[in-house]
Amino acid sequence: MSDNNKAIFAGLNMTGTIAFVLLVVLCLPLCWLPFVIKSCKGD
Amino acid sequence: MQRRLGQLAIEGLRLSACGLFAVWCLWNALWLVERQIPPALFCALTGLPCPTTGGTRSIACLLRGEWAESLRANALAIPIALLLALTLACLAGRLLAGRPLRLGGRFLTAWGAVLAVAWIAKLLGDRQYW
Repeated sequence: MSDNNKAIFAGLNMTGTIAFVLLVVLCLPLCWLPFVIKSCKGD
Repeated sequence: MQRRLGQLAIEGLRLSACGLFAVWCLWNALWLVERQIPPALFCALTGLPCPTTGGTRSIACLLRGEWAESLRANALAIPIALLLALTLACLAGRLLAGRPLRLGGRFLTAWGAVLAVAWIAKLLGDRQYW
């Protein structure tokens, strides 16, 4: 398991968590997207 | 040292995500208690539009055949709507096939690109439509 893909928030990796935070701030109705995109999920 | 900074960044991000979510819940609850539709938190705090601001107006104008007005309200409303439809169709297809709800990384790229262009277009557009 690499550190880069470690789940850090609600099963999301770093990319997913950043995407989630940005979407909550900028476009809330789409904040579910990181949870269904494979590259946003952590191990 | 670098590893420790990395851990601190992760903790900071985790706390930001939790804090932001709590603030958002509180914000919406306060508006709903007043029986009003909550405005976008970002718009209310900064006065700036979000990437999808004007999307509903844009589609309504398009349905009335007012192309120019539709583009002014949100130039990327149609690409966003199409990408949303594609995303939901892919998820529905996987759900019906009994497969896990997971989409490829291309969706992240596509959404990132569409929302970034939409936001830039919105910020550079007519302030009357913010």
